[in-house]
Amino acid sequence: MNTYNRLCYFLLSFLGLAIAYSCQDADSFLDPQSTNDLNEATVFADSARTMDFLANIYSTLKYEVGTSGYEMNTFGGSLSDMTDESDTRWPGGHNVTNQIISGTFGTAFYDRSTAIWTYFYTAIRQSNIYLKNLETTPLSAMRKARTALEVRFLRAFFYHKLMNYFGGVILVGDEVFTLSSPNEAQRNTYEECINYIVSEMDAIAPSLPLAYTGIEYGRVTRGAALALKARVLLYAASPLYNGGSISDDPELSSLIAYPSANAQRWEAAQQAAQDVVDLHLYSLYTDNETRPGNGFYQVFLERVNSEFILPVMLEGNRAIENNTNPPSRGGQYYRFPTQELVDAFPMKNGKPIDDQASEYDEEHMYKNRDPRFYYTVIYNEAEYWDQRVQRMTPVYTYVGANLDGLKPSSVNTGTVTGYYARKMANENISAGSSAITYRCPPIFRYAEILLNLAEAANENGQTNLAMDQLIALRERAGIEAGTDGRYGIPANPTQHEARELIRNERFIELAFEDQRYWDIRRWKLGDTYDGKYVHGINIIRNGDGSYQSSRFEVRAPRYFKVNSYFFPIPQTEIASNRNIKQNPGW
Amino acid sequence: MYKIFTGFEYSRWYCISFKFLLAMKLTIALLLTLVIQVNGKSYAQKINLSAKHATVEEIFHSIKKQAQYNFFYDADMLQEMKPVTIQVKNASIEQVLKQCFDEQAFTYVIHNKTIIVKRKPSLPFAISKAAPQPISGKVTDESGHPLPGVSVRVKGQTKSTLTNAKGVYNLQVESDESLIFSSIGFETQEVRVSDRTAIDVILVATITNMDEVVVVGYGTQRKSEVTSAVSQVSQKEIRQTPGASLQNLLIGKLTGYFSRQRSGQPGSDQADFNIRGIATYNSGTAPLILVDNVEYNLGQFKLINVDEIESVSVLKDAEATAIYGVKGANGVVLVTTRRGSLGKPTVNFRTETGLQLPIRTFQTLNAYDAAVLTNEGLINDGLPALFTEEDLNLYKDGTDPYGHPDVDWYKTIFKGSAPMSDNNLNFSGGTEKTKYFLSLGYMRQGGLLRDIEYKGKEKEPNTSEVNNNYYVRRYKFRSNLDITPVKTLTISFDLTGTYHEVNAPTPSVFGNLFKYDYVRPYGYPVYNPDGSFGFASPSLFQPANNYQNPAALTALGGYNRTFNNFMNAGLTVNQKLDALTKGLSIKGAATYSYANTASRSQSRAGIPSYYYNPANGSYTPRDNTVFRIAPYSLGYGGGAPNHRLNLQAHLNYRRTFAEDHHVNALVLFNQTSYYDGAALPFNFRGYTYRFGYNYKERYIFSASGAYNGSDRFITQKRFNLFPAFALAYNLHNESFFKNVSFINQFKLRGSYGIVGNDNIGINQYFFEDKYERSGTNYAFGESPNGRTGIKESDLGNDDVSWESERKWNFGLDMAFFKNKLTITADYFNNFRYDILTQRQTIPKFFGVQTDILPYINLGKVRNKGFEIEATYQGKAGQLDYNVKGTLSHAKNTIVFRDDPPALYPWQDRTGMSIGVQKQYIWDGTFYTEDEVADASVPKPAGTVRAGYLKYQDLNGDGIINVDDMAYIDRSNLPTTVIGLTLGVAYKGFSISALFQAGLGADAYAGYEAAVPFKAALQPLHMNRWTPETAATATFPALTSNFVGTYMNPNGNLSTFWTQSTDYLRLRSMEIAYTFKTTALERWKISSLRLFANGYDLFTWSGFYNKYQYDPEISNNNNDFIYPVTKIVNVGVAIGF
Repeated sequence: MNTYNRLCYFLLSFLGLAIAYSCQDADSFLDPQSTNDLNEATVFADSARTMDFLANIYSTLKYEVGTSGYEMNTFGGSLSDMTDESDTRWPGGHNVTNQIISGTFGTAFYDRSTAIWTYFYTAIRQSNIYLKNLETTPLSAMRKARTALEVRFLRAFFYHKLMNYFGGVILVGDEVFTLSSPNEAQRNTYEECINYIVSEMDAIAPSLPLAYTGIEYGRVTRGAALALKARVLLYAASPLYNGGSISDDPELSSLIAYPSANAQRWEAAQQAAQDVVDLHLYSLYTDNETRPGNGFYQVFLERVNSEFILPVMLEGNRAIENNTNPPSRGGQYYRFPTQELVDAFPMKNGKPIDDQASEYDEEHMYKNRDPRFYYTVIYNEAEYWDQRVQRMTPVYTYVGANLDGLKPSSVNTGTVTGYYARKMANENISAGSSAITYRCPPIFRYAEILLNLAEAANENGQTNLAMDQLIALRERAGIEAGTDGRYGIPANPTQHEARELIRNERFIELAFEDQRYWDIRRWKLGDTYDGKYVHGINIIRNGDGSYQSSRFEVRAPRYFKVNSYFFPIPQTEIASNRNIKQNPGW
Repeated sequence: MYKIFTGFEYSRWYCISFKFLLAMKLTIALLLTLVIQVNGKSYAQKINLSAKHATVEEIFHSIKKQAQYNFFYDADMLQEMKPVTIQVKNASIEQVLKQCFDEQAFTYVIHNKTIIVKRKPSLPFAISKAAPQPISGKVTDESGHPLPGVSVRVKGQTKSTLTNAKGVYNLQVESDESLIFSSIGFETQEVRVSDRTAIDVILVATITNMDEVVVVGYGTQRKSEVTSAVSQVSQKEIRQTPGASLQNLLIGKLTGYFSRQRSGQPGSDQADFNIRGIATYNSGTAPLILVDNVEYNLGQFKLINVDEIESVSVLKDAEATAIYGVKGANGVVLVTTRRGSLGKPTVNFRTETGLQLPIRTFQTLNAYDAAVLTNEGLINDGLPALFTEEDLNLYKDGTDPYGHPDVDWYKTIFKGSAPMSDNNLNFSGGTEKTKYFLSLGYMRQGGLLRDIEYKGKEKEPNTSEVNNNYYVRRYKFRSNLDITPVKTLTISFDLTGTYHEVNAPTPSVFGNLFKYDYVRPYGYPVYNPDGSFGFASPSLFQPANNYQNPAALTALGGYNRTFNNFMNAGLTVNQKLDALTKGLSIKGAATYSYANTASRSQSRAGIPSYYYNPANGSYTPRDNTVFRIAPYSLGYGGGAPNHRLNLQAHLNYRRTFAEDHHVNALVLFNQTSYYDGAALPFNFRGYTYRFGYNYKERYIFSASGAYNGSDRFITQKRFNLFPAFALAYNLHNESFFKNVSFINQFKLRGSYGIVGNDNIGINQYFFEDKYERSGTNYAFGESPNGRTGIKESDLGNDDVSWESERKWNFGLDMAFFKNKLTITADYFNNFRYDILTQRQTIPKFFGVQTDILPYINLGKVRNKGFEIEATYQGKAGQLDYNVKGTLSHAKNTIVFRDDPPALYPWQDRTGMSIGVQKQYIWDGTFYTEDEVADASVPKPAGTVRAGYLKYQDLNGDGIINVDDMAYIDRSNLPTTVIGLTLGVAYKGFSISALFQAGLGADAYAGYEAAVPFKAALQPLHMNRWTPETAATATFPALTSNFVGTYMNPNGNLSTFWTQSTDYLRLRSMEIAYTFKTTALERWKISSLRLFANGYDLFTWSGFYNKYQYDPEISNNNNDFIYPVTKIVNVGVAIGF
């Protein structure tokens, strides 16, 4: 009995101790332990973190929805593939690019529309959070003032992007919404949105620095603000917006365009572009000594150059090579340039290929072309760096060529047009190599400003001024001046002829720079493209090594109807707030 | 069969971790010591009594307490009984009773565990009797096991004895008397002596005994006391199905158990399961799994050795689960492991070996058919055909095996069967002081990968063989010890360990095996003429990502091996505190579990294969940098240890007042810390109670619940009470029911309660506002000077709490015809509320991304259903037969999840099941030429050709677009599962079969598994629409860019693609023969059983016929899945 009692008490006290032990920290046992040291208070109480928060807003600056690096990474596909610039690698019908170009709008497309809407409004919210907290941050007064201007630029830029996709959108001002904020906003009219962006740029431009050097390089400058204003006003003056609404509904019409046309908008656009030129800070990056058009090639490889107004700031990278190099070079071969793009390049003498005097030879179509062509497209036998043999070797795109040969459009293992993209790529680096460049793809560069100026000037009747800009661009491109010194530009083009020249120049100069998609829309050219095929080149290699080539239609005809001009406002947005009107055709 | 078994390369399986071996060694040593201590004392309930002038009633109470006997007597009798003085130690019940009744005018009869007190018959005159003769015999059960401790009593007398360890009894008896043999769990038998001196008796196990013990949360209840919805299955029943993962063996046997087996890959073949379906659209739908009160996760559950299992219980309603509080809402699975029982040491060995056979092999079209369809797709698109007529002929006649090969890749890579085996050895037994159960197991499951020969000229750089086939090996051990140093104290020490090793080839061979972009039947031959592995002609077919010849991967590829250790130790101390107050006991338990995973891989950097050009005999490498077989390189994956410490303290009370008032109560303190790697621990603390009262086992009331706290919430929201109540009415115990003899049980029960679910996301404190590093560098500067961005992350919500569920349950338990027929039926109506949901109606222009929205307790889901379980056990002469049917139905409905108002009523998923898909409604036909030309016929934008799928234009706007997609109220989870077990036993033979069906679910194959020219071409595609076959076609017209059309299920899902997965399976079947014990005695064998059984032997499913995927597949699967396998198995179980 004694043993029993002892044992019993021993065990009881053991149990008691165990429980007492487990309860001793009863108050703290269930206390949550913080998993995170970052929140609104701690971020804005620290200057470095505040600047990191700002860096994140900057990182929203990217090329439209693409794949990686310098492109928005919301879904596959890119805006280029949705135009006549290129065709997509992805054969899947679920692929957003395919849904847009074939007009089969499935859930993925709607998801993408929602993602874009959310992407930019998220960035706008982050901007407003920054502005809200700025006062209490430990930044210097000067830095506070300057970064506020940067954020206001970025916020306006995001609105510009939203307007491209959706027309007039909801201007939220400086508000940082809470989840209990009322949801009754309406879309602002197109005019209100344009006025907002312009007034913001007018307000901030004078106070922004002209340029940055050292570690601050890449931040928003006065030039960037003026360039955004120039682009926005050019768009606003364009046919789609300048009284040319695609909707009959007057209310909807004012949301997506100016209700009526006004030629003075071209004047404002011209002036805005002229303002950038008048800064005298920028010039076309020219080097025709090394080889014709080398400046056009180098400008995309050099981080700092005379032409860039606002680049996307990247670490050392192979982003372009990785995304566009052909399979044999280890790249992901996103986007295949079309025959349309190839044909848009003039000859080395500046004459278009359908000009009798151009000396164009269909059998040898890649001979003697505008030097920009060679820096934009990889065609059959074009040379490019081959990491395996450590030198430039030809890329073969003929039918049946190993790896890079032309493929049926139902597979995604190689080109479906006979071409690979090369724009901005460093020919001495392939995706499969380990070298990097410090390039930064441009958001705004001086060439665009000149094209903006040319377009607006031509619409304002100043055709010669317009042609001067094209001549400047062609001179830099390495085109031969010709006996008349006009680089293939006819002497006295009509306004219409000049317009076509300007549009073509814009197509080739700014290829794969996120411009074509918006240009086609603002020029209201949908009917021109609806039901049309893009073309590729089918090259057969003969036994003797010679080639036979023929153009062919790639995939199905392209779709371009009224609903192609604008993306649909996300359904959930309308479902939860019936004040928001949907875009035409959706 | 035997040959295949020895085909295993045992020599390779040397790699048991040293620690594990050491642990096993120590445990075995410990156990052996204990086994030696066991001596051969008797096994009956021993009673200690010491009383002076006690009332008989008090004595009865003591007996009842110590030996769990019930007494039946008339209250008047007690008045007439004399006080008793008694002093016994370790006495049998008969001895005690004899003393008590010696001087009374009463006598007693023991019936089962009930002692009936009655008046002594007054004998009018003395009868002369013959002198008693000695008699002896052996008592065994039906399978010939000797039964120790059986009470053998002379009818009408107090003379009795118990059988010894060998089931043998000796008694003095007169020839005209009868012997009564009784034991718990067996039907009592009466045998007339009739001058015999030896009587052997076989006792028949009681059918559905009312005293059957049901395992409930933190305790057990007799079936008649149970007020909650619990289904239970015993080891014997589980055993009838062979297989490697425990959850697969339970399918069809338990009501409320819904499962889906997604794969057959060794190591990953375990079914997902839910209790009573699911009731939340969040991911936390897994039930709480407790093995002897230790929490296991699903991955650990599958490793449990059936040999260790006593029973598996599924707790379903609020009354059963509320004591688990915040962890109980998804149902609870309790596994009780076997423990030693009083008796001499027994050794049981069971070995079984079998074959796994794919339920069905995936059929692809041969090269000729594939080439014809490829041409057809191209021609339909107006493109030139890929193959000439000559090519087609060569594919057809196979005379050009290199230029025009025809390869069935499935058959090339996979063989028809793979072996498996399972071996178990257990020891059990015990004395008054020590009881032990020890089990050891070894399981081996092979894979279906073929051993593909490498015939190339180049030497393989590795001399030693590398096994890259799929396999699983598992070592399992458990030791459960119960030590009773003194009568009132029990110390239990449980130790279990599992070592689990899974092997799979790397790179994975089969993910892309049926993707048309990767392999094609006409693509290339397996081998080239020189023995090297073949590859595709660049002009014919360029595999996506330059995908390697899968045969080369199989022959020369490496493996990825994962090692999983799972250890568990538990110490439980139970102290009876009758000294304080009768019926009180206290229990403390501490359990610690530890799991770790590590991996090792061998892989090659390059394996060469070549395109052989028969025209000029040239060889072109697949990759012109790979010309040799690279040596293996080793890779290691570090461990991912996690451990869990659980502490419990129970206070138990169970007592009967005034005979009829039975009271029990439980109070429990429970605390768990779970550490996953280096992450912050999950801390949980709970207080649990249960109170039960029943009156004469007629009216039963029970209240239980838990007050639980978790560290996932703010202080004010940290604790919550989860109460439940239940009532039961045993109608058959009413006196007016006594006369209805064919009804043995008729119980009504109902319960209501609130139970929670805190399985709401991984280690996240939902109330915290967070910012985070965005992970993107923005590299300002003339030379890059990257800044990692910071952005707003999760928005917090202080009010976050757990999900809760109101559960109603009404049940009926019935037994008829001497318990031959039993029926249990339950109806439940559950309402899950406070489901953590991110609000869907926050406008996006607020700039708050959907994934950072705070979680708010606002979702609501109803889940209703019923279950019926019926068993019938019959006997026709020597033939025993039994039938058991289970039917479970559960249908959930989303009541609220803050979806924005749907633009069209058919796009509202509120009111439908969780997991429904928005899809176009195929009207069952294809567009005709005329319809294509007719602009008024609604069509989708883009290309539409004759023979394409025709969808319904729901909103009538003349165009098929996303507005015409509707939610169809069928999800991927079956709503009804049915199991039917049929069993027959004749003498030693027995046959049982289990049919199981799952109904009410839909599935569709992903586009890379079903769409032509994206997936391999399959028989499904042969029935495509062509102008000639327009009337009979079942598949749309082909186009080489099918995946680019609106018919692609990815993003444009339609009812054409979704298909009912209703299936019926012969889940398992067993044929067994049990030898008569007597025949084996001389070999010292106490039992011997031979059996053959199988798993998933037949499947009937329409889904299967269409997509060739198993009907339990998950939605939108794009990869080839390791086929679900059937198992055919033979084995022997032997006991000593």
